Amino acid sequence: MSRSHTVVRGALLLGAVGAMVACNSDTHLVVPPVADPIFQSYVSLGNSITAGYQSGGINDSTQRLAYPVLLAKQMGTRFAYPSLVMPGCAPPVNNFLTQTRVTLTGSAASTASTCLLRSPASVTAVINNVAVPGIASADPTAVVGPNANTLVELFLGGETMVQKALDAKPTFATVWVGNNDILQPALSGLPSTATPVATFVTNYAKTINALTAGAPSLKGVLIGVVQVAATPLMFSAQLLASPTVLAAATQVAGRPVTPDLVTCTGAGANSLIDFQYLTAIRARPAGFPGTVFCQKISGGGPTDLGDLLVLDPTEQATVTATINGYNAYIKAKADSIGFAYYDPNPTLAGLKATGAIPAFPNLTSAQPFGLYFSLDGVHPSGAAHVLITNDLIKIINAKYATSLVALPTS
Amino acid sequence: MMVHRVTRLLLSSVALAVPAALSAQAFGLNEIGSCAVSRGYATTAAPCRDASTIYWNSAAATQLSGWNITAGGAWIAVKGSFTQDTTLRVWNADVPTSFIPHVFVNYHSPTSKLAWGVGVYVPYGLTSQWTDSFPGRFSAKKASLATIYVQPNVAWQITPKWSIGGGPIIGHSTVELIQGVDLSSQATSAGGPTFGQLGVAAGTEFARARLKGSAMGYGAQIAINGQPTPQWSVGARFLTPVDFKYDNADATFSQIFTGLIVGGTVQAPFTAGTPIDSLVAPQFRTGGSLVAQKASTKITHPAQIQGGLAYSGYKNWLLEADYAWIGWKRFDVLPVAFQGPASGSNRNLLESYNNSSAIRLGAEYTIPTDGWKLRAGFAGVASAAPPETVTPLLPEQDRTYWTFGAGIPIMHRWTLDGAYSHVATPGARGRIVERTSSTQTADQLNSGVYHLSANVFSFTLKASF
Repeated sequence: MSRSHTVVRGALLLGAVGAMVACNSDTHLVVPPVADPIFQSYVSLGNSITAGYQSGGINDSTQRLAYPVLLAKQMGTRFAYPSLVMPGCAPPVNNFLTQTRVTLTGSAASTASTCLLRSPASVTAVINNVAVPGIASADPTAVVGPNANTLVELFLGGETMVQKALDAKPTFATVWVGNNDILQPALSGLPSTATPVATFVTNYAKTINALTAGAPSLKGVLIGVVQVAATPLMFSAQLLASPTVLAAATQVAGRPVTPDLVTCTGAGANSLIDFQYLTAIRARPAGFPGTVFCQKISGGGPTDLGDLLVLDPTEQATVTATINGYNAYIKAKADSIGFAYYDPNPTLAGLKATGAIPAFPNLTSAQPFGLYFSLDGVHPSGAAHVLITNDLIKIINAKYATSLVALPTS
Repeated sequence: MMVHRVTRLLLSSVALAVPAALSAQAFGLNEIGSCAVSRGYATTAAPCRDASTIYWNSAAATQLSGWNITAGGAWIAVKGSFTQDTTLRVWNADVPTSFIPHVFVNYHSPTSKLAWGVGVYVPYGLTSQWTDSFPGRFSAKKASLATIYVQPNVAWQITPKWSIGGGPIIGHSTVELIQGVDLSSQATSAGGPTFGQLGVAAGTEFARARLKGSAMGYGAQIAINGQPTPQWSVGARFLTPVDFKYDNADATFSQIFTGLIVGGTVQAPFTAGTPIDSLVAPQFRTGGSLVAQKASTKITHPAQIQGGLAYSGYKNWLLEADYAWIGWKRFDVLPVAFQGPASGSNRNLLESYNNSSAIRLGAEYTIPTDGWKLRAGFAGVASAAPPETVTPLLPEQDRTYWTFGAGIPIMHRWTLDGAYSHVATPGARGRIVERTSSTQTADQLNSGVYHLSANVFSFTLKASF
């Protein structure tokens, strides 16, 4: 930028009064104000949903759709997330049936182990979205937690999640931790491997206490754990009575699928089957029957074809009770520290009740799990993030008397 | 593993020292004689009646009589701060009070048209210093530059009303730069990703770099002074640019422990649980990039032109207005080179400074009964730095100077001058990161607001005999 030497400006400086006024006003120097002072520095802690994970992967395109990014825009506050170079780490699935992943033109086909690193432009001193896919309640206060993975390093860079959040000198925080304490146990049909409620309480308290100790004036929202058994990846065993569903299941499994007449009747009809049960059948040796067992057949455990990837009614009750235990504590903790509490389950249940989430994946659709869930059947899509954002806006406005404007919904 | 960019940062620091040094006069390095300070530096047409005229208008040395010895100094206390946009956190500068000396000697026989003398003064210099937590410490933790000019001077009265003067300048400049080195911008291997791409936050200090060097430079100053009427005086001076080549500067590095541990396995050797400090430690040993080495750069101290008009038609009053021009534009690009493992990082750094102008006004009232002189002045200076070059080394911005002072006769031959100057700025948006491309704009780079002010106290003792 070229500028002629500024005699005129020098002369203007002779205006002593003007100069002194300039000394006393910063209005021309500061960035635009945020919607409310409590949003001056917003941080989001959490796991995959908060980080922007969709369709079994994460990249900049999915990260920018995450609810914290949307919420920050409504707050008018600066919000940096640890953007990943395209196609991502791992690149999201872009075709449900073929399970192909986002691949850049001219590059080798992406796989589940493909991992591009942080975008150089996203390397900043402070990031606001410190959520990391895969972490559970024991991780936010540990540098190398029990669920450490590559993204822990790429997003947190050797700090704990709480430290990273505190680096932003936060004035407002959302915390959505706990889904992974029970997600995989539920999906795998082995809920006994979930984090016990007592352990969860200890872990969760440690995280929130560390966060609030580092930012005593912090405001925010604690978000409850999703009833993971209700994710669209799980379908009711009753649906196997439908020829249409059986045909679709057969297509996925690569061989005729039949429900086991013994275990899939009675209480077993109310079991929930993980869709991955069908892909597991496909992976079996040729000649192996495509039978779906809806209850334990050999004492249970990961080798029991009626237990692995199956949630029988008893196990469903265990999952529900565990999550209720988690959420009771999260709400109590929110109350105790003056935070708002958000339970996402009514919204998600409402989607299911209205049929917005199909009971069984629609294999002929580009959106087999519906508009609100991505191609992995677990993680919300961009449309669901908008709903979550609007729910949060309602709760924040009610709790803190702010005036955040809701996003338009599709 | 190689650390490729560490030296670039040091190079940038060297480069950034240029505007710091040049603009340092904004913080008082026009403080060459307390009389001149108190008159708002408007002393080219009717210079102070002491040997400091060797700097302000060397031609006017013929107006002095006999021996004149002038010596003193200015104490400059700078206050500065940076307010970060994102957090509104404020970091205060940690600048020690600086002392700037000056000494002048002049002789002019009343029967001669020739006057001669010598001046030793500091026209350029700066110490900027920030705290250990300041996020801009990767541009400058501390920058110290002091340049002393020695100017032998000859003045010649060409007519009863007009004189010319001038002399060569022998300059000596020392520079010391201390800066943090940011791990996030370092490459993990040749052609490999940076530590930042592996998640290390920008602003993670893992080394502290120190560069210290000195150089000699040569130039000249010439001036003309006249009194076309008994009430009016005019004058002008021209100070040439002086190049200083710091060819043998010492660059040293010390490791700063980050305490970071790899949080999740990325790729060997970045496996979960590995201390980052152990991964970079070899860089500080023989064979690494962060070993002691030599560096060189060139800092041109810019030309100055100042002209003024003075009026003494009101009884006991002297009024003067000056215009000054400084050729900052010479610092558009700066070549810097390392002479060690970092030689691959040699580069030209962009500064994009502009020439700047100043308006200077001064007044002096002589109390007829006892000869005391009461002085006041004002100066306004336009910023030389473009908006994208407002940095921790020099958060350059428009400045105003408010000055006052007095000259107190002591016995017959001595006079003590005292002056105070307050330097005010309106604040300016600036950056704390390196500008790596000319396409980067101020909006992209600037992340906060710098505020600066300074208080200057100056005392000069002068004798005539």
